[in-house]
Formats: sequence, C-alpha cells, structure tokens
Amino acid sequence: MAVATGSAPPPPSEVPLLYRRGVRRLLTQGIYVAITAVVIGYVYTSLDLREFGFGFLNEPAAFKVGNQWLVDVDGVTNSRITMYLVGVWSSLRAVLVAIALSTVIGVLVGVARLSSNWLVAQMAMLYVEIFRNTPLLVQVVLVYTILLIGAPLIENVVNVGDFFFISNRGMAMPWPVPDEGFWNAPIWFVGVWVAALIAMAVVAGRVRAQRQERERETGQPQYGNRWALGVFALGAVVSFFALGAPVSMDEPMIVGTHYIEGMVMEPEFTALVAGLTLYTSAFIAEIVRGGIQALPRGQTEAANAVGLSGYQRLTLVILPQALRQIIPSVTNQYLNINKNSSLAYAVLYDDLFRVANIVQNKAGHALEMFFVIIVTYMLISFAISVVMNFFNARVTAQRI
Amino acid sequence: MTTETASTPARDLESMDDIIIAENVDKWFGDFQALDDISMRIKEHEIVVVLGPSGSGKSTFIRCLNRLEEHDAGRIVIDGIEMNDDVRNLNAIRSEVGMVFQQFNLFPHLSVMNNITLGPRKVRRMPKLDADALAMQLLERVGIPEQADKYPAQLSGGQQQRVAIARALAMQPKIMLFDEPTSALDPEMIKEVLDVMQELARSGMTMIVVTHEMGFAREVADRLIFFDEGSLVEEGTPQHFFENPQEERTKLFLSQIL
Repeated sequence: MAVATGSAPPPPSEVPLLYRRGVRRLLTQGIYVAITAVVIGYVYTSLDLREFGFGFLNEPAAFKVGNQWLVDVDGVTNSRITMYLVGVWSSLRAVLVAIALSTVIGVLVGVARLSSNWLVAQMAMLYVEIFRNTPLLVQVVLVYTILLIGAPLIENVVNVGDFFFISNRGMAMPWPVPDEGFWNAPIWFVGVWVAALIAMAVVAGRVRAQRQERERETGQPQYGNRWALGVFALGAVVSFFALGAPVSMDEPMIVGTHYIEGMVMEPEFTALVAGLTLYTSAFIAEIVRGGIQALPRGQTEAANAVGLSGYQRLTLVILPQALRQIIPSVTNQYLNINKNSSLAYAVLYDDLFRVANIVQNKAGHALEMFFVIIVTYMLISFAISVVMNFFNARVTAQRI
Repeated sequence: MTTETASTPARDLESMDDIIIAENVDKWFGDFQALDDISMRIKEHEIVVVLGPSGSGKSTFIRCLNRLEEHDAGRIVIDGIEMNDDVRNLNAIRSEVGMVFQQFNLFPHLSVMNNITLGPRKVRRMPKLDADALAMQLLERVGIPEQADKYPAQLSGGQQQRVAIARALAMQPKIMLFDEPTSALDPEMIKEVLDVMQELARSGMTMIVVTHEMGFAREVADRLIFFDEGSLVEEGTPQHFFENPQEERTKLFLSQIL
C-alpha cells in the first residue's frame, strides 16, 4: 500500500500485543473453536447416554393414520417409518394445494386492490385486512368448526346425483383409479399406446405446420398451436379407450357412517388448506400490489397509448415486469405455508408432525424424532426454494 | 399511411379537413386548473409545435388528445370520433393516435422487435410474420434495423426514442403526439431523433409536438402555439412567433429561451 502523506506506521514490535490485528483474529477464532468444542462435547455425551439411533423406526407401527389418499396402510404390518412417510405425503398434499390456491387468489385480490372500481378495490382491501390481521391458528380452527357444526350429519348427507356428497365427514366425489394389473399391463398394450401417441404427435405437427402456412398466406390467425394440442389430446384419449381403458371411475358410497371409495376431502384437510390459503393469499395480494405499484407509471401509459386492453396491459406488460419484485417475496410465503402446515396438529389432521408425535409417544426417542421432523421440513423448504429460484432466474435473465 | 413526400413547404392546409377539434376544454387536478377553456382546430397533415413554460398545461393538453388524461369540460373530436365515455370510441381514437413520451416508456422486458410488434399483434391481430416484417421496415425507417434483437436497456437514449417512434408508427396512426421527445436525451443524441421526426413530417403525418427545440419549431412547424398557466396565449406561424410576437408573456418566454 502506498501512503503518500503522514508518518510511517510504527514497527510491529512497538504495537502492544492486544492491539495487533493478527493477534485479535487468532483470539476470536480461538474463542469460537473452544465454545463449539464444548457444545459438541456436551451434545455427544448426552446422546451417548440415550443410545442415539434410528433403528426404532423400522419396528412395526401398531397405530392407525388417518387422512390417507392414494395410499392404503393399516399400520398393523407397516413400520413406523412407513407411517411417518404417509404423514409426510399428507403434509405435502396440503402444502401443494395451499400454494396453488393462495397464488391464484392472491394475484386476483392484489390486482383487484388496484381496480378503478371503488367497490372491487374496497372488497379486496377488506379481504386483505381481515385475513392478514388474524392468527392463522384461529382461521384453521374456525373453518374446522364451521365444517363440523355447519355441514349436515352424514345421515342427512347432501347428495348431488349420487356423484358428489357433502356432510360433516367431508366432501366425496368420484376419482379415476387404475384397474388391477394396470402397472403390469401386457407389454403390447403399452407399446401400442405409445406408438399411437407418437403417431398422433406427428399428425398434430402436420396440422400445426399447415395452419401456420395458411396464416402466412391469408394473414388471418389460424391458431396452429391450439389445433395441434387439440388433435393430440383427442387422439390420445380415443386410442386410450380403444385399447380398453384400464382405468375406471371410483364412485363414492356411504356405508354406515363412513364414505368408502371415491376421493374424500375430510374436514381436517379442508380446514387446514382453507386456513393456509386465506391467510397466505392476503400476504401474496399485498406483495402483488406492491410489485405492480413499484413499476413506473409510464408503462401503463405506454400500454394504453399502444391500444392494449386492460387485461392485455396486465398480462403482457405489467405482471411480467412485476414478477421480478414478486417472486422473491412470494417464495418466502411458500416457505411459510410449508412451516405453518404443522398447525394441522390443531385439527387432528395426520400430517408429518402429528404422526411423528404418535411415533414418539409409542417409542420414545424424542431427540431423534425431532431431528427427523426438522430435516423433513428443511428438505421440503429446500425443494420449494430450488423451484422458485429457477423461476426467479428466468424472469431476471434479462437486465432491464 | 399516406405518403406525400414532396409536399412539404407549400402545403394547401386550407383545403384540408380538421382532424382534431378541441372546444372549450377544461381540466382540473383537484383545485388546480391545468387547462382553461382551450379551443383549437388542427388540420390533417399539419405540424403543430406547442410551446410554454413548465406547468403551463401543454403536456396535459396533448395527453387529453388520446385520453391519458380525461378532460373535465368541453369537447374533443379526433378524426370525427367524439371523445366520450363510449369505450368503442376510446379504442378507435387510441388506434388513430400514436404517442411518444419524454421518458421513452419502452417495455424493458421485451426485445426491440417485440416492443414494436406487441400492438399490431395483440390489438390488430396481425400475424407474427407480417408484424415482424412491418417492424423491420419501421426500424429501417428510423435507422436502427441492426438493433432489432436487443433489449431497451442495451440501447442509447436516442436509439430508445427512435424505437418508441417506430412502436407508435406500427399501429399506423393518423396522428402522432410527441411529449417533449428530446428532453431526456444527451445533447449529441437529440439530432438523430429530430431527424426522424422531420422525415415523418415530410411524409405527411399530422403531428403535435411539445418541445423546447426552437430550431425544429422554426424549420418544421406549420403553426406554433404558446401555452401559459393553462391558457392558450398566442398562436401563429413560425415567422409570426420569432419575428413579431404580440403578447407580453410570449415575448418574455421567447427572450428567456432564445
């Protein structure tokens, strides 16, 4: 370093020991290492006393887990880790549905808050103020209470054409399930269907090329992509049924006081998802509003001057730019949905946290179970972050 | 677009129709009156330059002509279309009137090409290939065809403003509004934008230009209009303005900027 003016620094020997930078660095690092060593040593000796290990997870569960969907385990022959994974699947389901719904509602409400229509803007503001200023736990339990008390008993079930049922045991509707043997279908079936799909893809490509050619000639839009997609979808469905359609609709029935078959949305699931959605969508609405308002007013004016409609202005000019602001904040909200899903505990929805607690009640090993719980939540959060970072990289790829 | 390239200096404006009619237009921002009883008629192919100190209402006036601002009283008729609450009229007017802003207001997330083709494709439902061809033609016209695939942030201010002009022209308007198009530019880029505007004027476009570029006003304008405190103070030919202004306020303004 060149020092132009001033007196030269004193030689090292004249600086008192405690004022030397190198000595200070060494000292702080030494303290840090010492504290870490003490903590690790304490934890290690504690674990040693309690026989830390995960072997207990492989023992038979001997308890039931509710709210199962697309899985069917009774807990008699299954291990504890299997039951835990069923709970993880229940958590994931609630989180994914809540993320999708809160995004859609959040964007709609956020845009509505900026509406020039006074009533629409006020309604949106009311929505935001109610749901972001009350506790999530209260919202989840309130929805659950409404569903249990408000919905009819299963003896008086609301039956919509033997197709859709509503009672305080939940909503039930038909759901497609693969027939027995679908997964070991004869190889010729899969082969023929895949061949049919490839053929349809080729035909769809042709249709698209023809349409585009005609668009070039006539100057009229011919919607090549939509036609191609339609042709392919039609072909796929027709060939699927022509080959015997090894999937059937599973229609719900009521036996005694229970639904069997079909897809059942239990009140616990509905309450948790509804609570997470209402609460988070209010925050997402504010994030969307902020992202839009942060854009220069000139963007709206330029879009108007070019003649775009209000909807085109929003989807082609405003939202694509606002996403740069919106995505990082919305990622945080998605992570909150993941973590807040543990409030399932309050409505007895068998999510990963509740199942883990049952395991711990049966087997002890609290430390290991909390380790597993924390790692699971972190992994889900990590997966959400990775996906959102991918989207973020896409919208920020272009410097603006 | 009509092309009457050779018709510049001695155009017979008398025989042409009024394409813009403003009658007794008032505009208020809260308690502040931005426009006070403005009446004006502008003929097709006419080049009008609007002058005035800042806050005089000149920008507000041209923003009323494509309803970026809503006038509070009076009447505005663009090419025979009444400016009123009828949404169809508003859409029709916006497709006849192109606008160029002081701050360019290009869409930063779209390439130069897509900035220009967005309107034609989404509003006019023009096929992509035709819109692309039109955009290239306009980029040639404003002199930057080689920038088609760049993004606005990669261009200089002058280039951005020329893209903005091309974007407005892509909707094939009959009237072009310029709201201080060179005020945000570095001095060495002003000329390239004024050259494009001059070429546009020669081609017969009806233009209303808010600017402080007196050279442009003197050379290109058919008529100058001077605004002050929301009122139309004086109007006339460039000769009238620069050699023999009548009103005190006009004289004061011109003495300060010339």
